[in-house]
Amino acid sequence: MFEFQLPDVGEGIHEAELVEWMVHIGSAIEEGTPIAVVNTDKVTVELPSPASGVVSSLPWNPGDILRVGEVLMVLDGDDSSSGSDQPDSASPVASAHPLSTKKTDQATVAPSGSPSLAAALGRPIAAPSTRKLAADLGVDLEVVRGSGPGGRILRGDVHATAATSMPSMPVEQAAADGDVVREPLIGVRGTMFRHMTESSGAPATTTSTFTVRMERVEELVSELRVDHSPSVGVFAITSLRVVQALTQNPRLNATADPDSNDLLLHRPVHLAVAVASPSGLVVPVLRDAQNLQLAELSNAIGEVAKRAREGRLATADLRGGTFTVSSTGGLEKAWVTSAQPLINLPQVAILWMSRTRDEAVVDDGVVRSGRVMSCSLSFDHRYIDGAEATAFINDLTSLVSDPQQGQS
Amino acid sequence: MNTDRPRELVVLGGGPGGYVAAIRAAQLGVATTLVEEANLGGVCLNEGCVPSKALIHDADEVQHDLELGLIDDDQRAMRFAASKANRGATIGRLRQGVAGLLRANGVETVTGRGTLADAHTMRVVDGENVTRLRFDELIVATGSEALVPPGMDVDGKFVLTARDILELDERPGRAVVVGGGYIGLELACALQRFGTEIVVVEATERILAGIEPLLAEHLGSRLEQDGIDVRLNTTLVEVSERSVLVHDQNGDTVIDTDAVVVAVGRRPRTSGIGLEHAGVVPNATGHLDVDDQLRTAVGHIRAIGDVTNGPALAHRAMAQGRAAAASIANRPGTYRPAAVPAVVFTTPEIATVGLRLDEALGRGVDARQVRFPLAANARGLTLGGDGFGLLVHEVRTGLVLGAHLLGPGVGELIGTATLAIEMGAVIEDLAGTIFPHPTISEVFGELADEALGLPTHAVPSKKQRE
Repeated sequence: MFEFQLPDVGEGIHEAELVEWMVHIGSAIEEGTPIAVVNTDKVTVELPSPASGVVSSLPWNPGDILRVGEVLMVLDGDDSSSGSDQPDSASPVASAHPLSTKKTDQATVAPSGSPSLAAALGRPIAAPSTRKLAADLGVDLEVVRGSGPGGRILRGDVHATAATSMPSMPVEQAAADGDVVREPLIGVRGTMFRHMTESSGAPATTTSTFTVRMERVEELVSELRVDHSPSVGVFAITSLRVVQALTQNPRLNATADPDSNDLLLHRPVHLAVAVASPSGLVVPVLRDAQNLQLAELSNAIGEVAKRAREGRLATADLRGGTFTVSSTGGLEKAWVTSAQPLINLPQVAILWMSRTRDEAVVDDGVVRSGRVMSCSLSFDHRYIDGAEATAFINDLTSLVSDPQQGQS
Repeated sequence: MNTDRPRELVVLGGGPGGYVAAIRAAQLGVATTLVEEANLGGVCLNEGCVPSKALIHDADEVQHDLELGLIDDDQRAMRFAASKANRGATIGRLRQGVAGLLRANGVETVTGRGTLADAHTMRVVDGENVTRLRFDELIVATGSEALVPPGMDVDGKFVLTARDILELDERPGRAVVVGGGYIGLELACALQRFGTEIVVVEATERILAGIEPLLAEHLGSRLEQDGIDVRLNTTLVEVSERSVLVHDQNGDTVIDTDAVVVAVGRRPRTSGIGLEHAGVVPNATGHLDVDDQLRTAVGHIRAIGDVTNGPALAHRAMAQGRAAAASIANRPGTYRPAAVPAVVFTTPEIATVGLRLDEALGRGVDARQVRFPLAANARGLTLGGDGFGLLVHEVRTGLVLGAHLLGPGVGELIGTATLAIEMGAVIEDLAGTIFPHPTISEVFGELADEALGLPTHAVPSKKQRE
């Protein structure tokens, strides 16, 4: 018997509405078969079955609200030997739970080459450079399987574990996320965290608003319209600049570890893009945006926006973001010149961008008509100080106002 | 000096732990202030490891010259005084070196006695001058001092600590060394070679507590051969003028002597520095409990070196200092060494790292120990042939767990075994490493071959031949 518990279908989502069943009691299903449509406040998704078997119980009706962790469906195993009533820990919920991020998942990764030896010695068996690598990647050596002689943990073992045990990352997506640097919440950083939490609560949202000259971006849009059939818009170009600015300012491309409050600095930029959809605002994630060329990023944005409008986003599309960009440019009739975007937890910063407008600007002492965009950067002051936010703004401003820079 | 500006980091104590922590913190971008009331370099540089090694080196040369008939006993006595002068010059150079390194790394050095006024303020008194330093982070590196049993009055003339020995202008004719630990035995060996008659009084049943007993026993018999009178299970009862009264199983004995050297251990300097005003409470032994980032229970106050539990060794303090500095600079990582080596600079030397066989077995590890005699090593034989190496390893994996050496110069070798343990080396790693011939370092390859049952320079055991 296997109980399928409602997974966490998106960050911070605690409950979901059952829209419809896609299976019946008695259906024989394979792992991956869609079993139900559920609707959260962010997205409507089909849930795949994490296991194969025969549906023996569907204890909910469409319209019911389920909390994460409640048993959605019960399967009888299809394995012929499972007629015996193995009281079923054989298929532990964790391993059959594709979206679980619980630490217990890692326990299944654990067996070290000689765990009892390492335990008896009270230390993992790994060279100092390997231990440093593990510390840099935030990997706990206790859960790393050592593949070297005598169970020695090698650098590759640490990388492999880092790739499969990312905190707050779904297991199936984590493989791409090896390069994360954990920044423990200590020293001056820890002091700032405590002071800011005391004065502002969590997160300590601080917003800086600034304007950016858009002439060069618009020139680039016109140039690209000539030789690219799918047009590349202002939002795609500015998003690319955001990604480039993030790689130069890694502390803004980060998430807070909910357990330790440590800051996790991510090498890849998983850019979350706030998109309007019929059911409301959704924030799909473009993974490894730092590897995307402008045209690819533009296509990816167009693709997720389309899927969002059609309500076809998968849960995986909504997870693992490291920074969010938000734009109401397409909706604006008025000239909104600032906003206070709310941070998309556990991320630590978000950028809002206005539509581009005409405005009087001063170039070399001469007032003239210019094209400008307003931006509002909200950052969590528990982790990021004003100087770091300003450095990001400076880099972004110069990247946007000179699109030849960092041309990809 | 700007006393209003809060310091990012204050390090209290300029010994090997403190100055290394200060340099590393400054290198990592932390604005660092070091407070030291006396000389930079601490006990180690000024009155401990460094000058005692100089004394020991001079003692070896004196012994050599005497054996060759190059000097007589009067000249030997004169060499004792000359040794002190040489030491002074060496220490002065090293002290200046530390000061220069601190300066070059931009560490602010404040001279004076620092005591905590509260958890973020230190009061520094230098004669008439009183300064208050505000700080965000603190590293306590105040070290340790000689433990003097109650009732003993150290006067620096008749009753001496190790430090006082190094200040003597003349060798004592006779000396009673109280304590059979490494400090007492090192001084006993050095003084004996300068011609002092030595009695070592040790209260327990063995010398060198904590060191592999096979090594300690071997050293004990060597000391006896060299004319050092080691009395185990013997307690000091009373110190009189020019004599001490000791007690053993046969009753009380009076030993006439010209000096009593107190070397029964060290105690952490955690009182009198105002820790109570910062909420830091020493444990039952007077040490400060720290986590693996060297934090005390008061998170922004860290402690390193002899004030923390563990062997009172300069290299441990230095490693802790680097780790504490990294942690303050928000670098990932912890102080979690696989092994801390220790060297006893007796004649012959003892060097040890990692687990003893009994420790490994006690932890439930399936371990065994192999032995290789230096008499079977060419270089070892040219140096007298006295000594041996022990290697402790896990049986199934061959993981190297410990190495314990006795012989000439083995202190220089133990780093090899320490590296092996830190790297997680197995026996085959040592067996597959070429050690230069003829050197004593070959002992590691020989021990590994022995562990594999394939000894080259030792007669195979009956079991191995089968």
